[in-house]
Amino acid sequence: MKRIIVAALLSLSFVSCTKDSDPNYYGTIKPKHSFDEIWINNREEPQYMDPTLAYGVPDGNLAWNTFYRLVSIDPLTGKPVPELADKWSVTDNGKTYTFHMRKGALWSDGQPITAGDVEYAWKRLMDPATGSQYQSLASNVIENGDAFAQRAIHLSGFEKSTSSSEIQSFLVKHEIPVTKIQARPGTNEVFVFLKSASPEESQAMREKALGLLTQEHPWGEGVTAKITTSDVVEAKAIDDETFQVKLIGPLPYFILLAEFANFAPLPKHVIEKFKAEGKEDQWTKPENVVVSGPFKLKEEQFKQYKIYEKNPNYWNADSVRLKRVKVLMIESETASLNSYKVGETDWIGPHNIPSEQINNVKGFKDYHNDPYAGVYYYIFNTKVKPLDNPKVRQALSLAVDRQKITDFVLSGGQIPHIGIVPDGLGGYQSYKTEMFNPAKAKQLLADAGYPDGKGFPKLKFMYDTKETHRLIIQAVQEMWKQNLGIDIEPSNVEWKVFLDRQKAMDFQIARKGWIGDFLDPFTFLEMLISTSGSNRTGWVSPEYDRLMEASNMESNPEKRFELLGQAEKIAVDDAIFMPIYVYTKTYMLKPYVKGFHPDYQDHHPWQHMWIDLDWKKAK
Amino acid sequence: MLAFILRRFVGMVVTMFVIVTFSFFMMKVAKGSPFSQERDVPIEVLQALEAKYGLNKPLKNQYMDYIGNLLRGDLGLSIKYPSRTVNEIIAISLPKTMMIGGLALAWALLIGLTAGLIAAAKQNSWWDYSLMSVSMLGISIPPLVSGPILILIFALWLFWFPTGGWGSFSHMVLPSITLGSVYGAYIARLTRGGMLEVIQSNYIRTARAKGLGEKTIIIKHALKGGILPVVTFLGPAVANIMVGSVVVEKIFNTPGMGPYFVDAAYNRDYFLLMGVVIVYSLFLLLLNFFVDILYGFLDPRIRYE
Repeated sequence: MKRIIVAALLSLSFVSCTKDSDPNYYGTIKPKHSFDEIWINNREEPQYMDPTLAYGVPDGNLAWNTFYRLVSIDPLTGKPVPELADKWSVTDNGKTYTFHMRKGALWSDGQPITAGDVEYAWKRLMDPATGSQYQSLASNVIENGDAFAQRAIHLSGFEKSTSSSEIQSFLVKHEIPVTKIQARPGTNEVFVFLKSASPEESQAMREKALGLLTQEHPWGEGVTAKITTSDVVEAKAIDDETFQVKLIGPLPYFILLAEFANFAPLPKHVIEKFKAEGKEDQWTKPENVVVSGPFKLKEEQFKQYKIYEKNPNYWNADSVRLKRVKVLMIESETASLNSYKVGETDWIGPHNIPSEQINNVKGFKDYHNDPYAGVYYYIFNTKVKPLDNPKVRQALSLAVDRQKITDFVLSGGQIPHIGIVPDGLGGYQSYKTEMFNPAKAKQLLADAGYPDGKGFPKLKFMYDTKETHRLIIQAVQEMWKQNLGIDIEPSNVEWKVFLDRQKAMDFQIARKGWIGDFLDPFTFLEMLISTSGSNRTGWVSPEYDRLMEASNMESNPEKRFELLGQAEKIAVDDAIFMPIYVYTKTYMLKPYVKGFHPDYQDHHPWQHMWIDLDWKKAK
Repeated sequence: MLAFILRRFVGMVVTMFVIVTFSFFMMKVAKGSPFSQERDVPIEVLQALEAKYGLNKPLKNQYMDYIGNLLRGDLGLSIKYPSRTVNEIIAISLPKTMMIGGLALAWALLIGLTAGLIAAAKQNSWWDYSLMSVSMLGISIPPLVSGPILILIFALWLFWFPTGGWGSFSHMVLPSITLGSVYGAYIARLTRGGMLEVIQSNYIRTARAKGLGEKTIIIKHALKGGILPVVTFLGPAVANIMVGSVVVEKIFNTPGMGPYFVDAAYNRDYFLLMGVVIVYSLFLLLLNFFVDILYGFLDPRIRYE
């Protein structure tokens, strides 16, 4: 018996070594499936399968590969190309986009994809009742979108012109706080945005205001007040083939937004059917779902896998070479890397290699490392002493040797960085200035009244519980101690508490990561606008806000980048954020997977992928 | 006997109610909202989300609603996986966990009882020392270590078993062995201890004096009393095994219930968290209840009057 086991053992390991592996590659090099199939790891069961609601990366990847948008991004050039819309035109000085739907583009159930499906999807995204956390991506850019999204009060039927200050003072007199009053372009109607701290309060305030306005008629009987409905939103199907959208300004990044997963046209006929039955969240189940893209969900096992099959009704189905995509949900990094090694997965994306394993897999040819449009920052609470002093913040920033952190702490190819925006978003060059100068840092701290760190309070640093964050702050702590003579106290908190405390500004210094939603500097710089919900620093700069506002109104791309560049300079010079590095995405990819292109946002359409069984010869 | 069962049953219901209430409020005391994100959620969207889960109501009403639904067997909607109910998630994950648990338990009993009996029968022999050393090792090496070692040997080197996941019997082997071995090691030591105590008792001496064979003495007379400590241990142990191990299920990527104890708390998925806590408590209470009844059959000295 013993001998048999030993023999079996030996033969097994022998077979596996000779046939499926290669010393140059970490994992097996022969697919365990047929040539028209691919196995990938999505890392997590998605939270939402509905593209409107998709929020995290696990949601986005699945929605993005199955529900196609009006345009798509060419993986080689990075430029927008026609997809479900076969052409589009931009008029009105860059503010109006008219999309012409592709003739013959069908839903997977054979129904035509119409402009009405686009309007339906975009308004569904903006509708607060839908509950999409990406709502503001659409409502912030489309004319009257924010009024609908924020349930502003829509006043119409004015007989004589009424100034907004008149309206404001009337409401304020009745103790209804107003954020802003906005005219509806081309009419004499207005939207009144109410201010509130909590959902409950906002509801109560709105009812109070509506009651008041409908009873008192302060501006004549003809004036009606109601909650803004979706029909004022300037995203409209003119006919079945034409969809038109008006923007609040000539926003050049709009076309990139239109490519975003949440902007995918939706099968109105399917969703409305399920909604009528009270089962709206069931329309994405395999037996119900209807898609516009090249793959359709065929089977799912919760927390195990999802199987997608080619959608023959996709208009460009001829270009799709894979027949089947198996998406696994392997959460643990180690388990994921193991699955890759033995060929249970062909491609494992970011966050799939345990950091202690990076150095073991680095030398293999199937290990890859690409830059990623995201920046790792420390942020300062500018409302607390001594961080309200720009000199202190500058000193802290200048005392950190970012190169050392990327080389020795992270060693995954990350790029040391000082700008708010990573380089190369649509040709934008981020603002560059001195990154590391301990002597100057020391001087700045002395100027601020803390020579050699004397009298400097022991600040607290907050991070969410994760090994990488701990290693980085240990390095930074040491650098601050050596270069400035000050000490800090790092403390880790759990993720949801971390987010809540950041929001409440209950911290002194905290870590922050930001991933660009689209490849334009705006998605990063927007964070520091004083009214932005992502500005957790307490920093307010009217000049910064003005530049950002002006950039949205600027139709010349070069001048626009100039304005954005000036804004970024203000924020960097004032050291509001302390950028540390630009992210990279490390991943393992089998050599037989072709049609895979490095991407700054880590978007990899399955549509173009294929399996090359003769990859060795092709080399 | 019946009176005892009734009394215990009422006690269980009360305990359950206390657990549910206590967990519910503990959970609400925890800072952080299920909807907190790095990107600020617009207030109107937050309103829609909170309304969907009834989180906009006063805490007292939320609690009353929850208890009401619970009595109807409705555990609510998951917040992390909004298109699924908690009942559905537990129905999907619990059977998988229980299959692994059942196998692990069988494995634990097999190796534990065998090793314990041999060690007790051959006390202070080479058998005894080596088996007990191995079991000490089994107790000391946590699944966090043994799991990856098993994967390394049997999945990555030998390709005998998959590295993880779910689908066939072979997916269950490594996680069951990882999970079961620790319990097996405990059982071995408890069996040995229990048996040794019994073997020295008078009625075994009587059996020996009657001239019964050693095998008959151990299996027929000593075992029944000797495994009492094991039975005591098994109550909570089976409950633990059956609701899944966070560590083992994470390591082997088993789509079971274990990880929800951590993940649901981390995500503030209130209803899912309550759901798994309730399932676990039910197991724990029921199994302890059964153990108490089993005692009466195993130990003639215990009578429930």
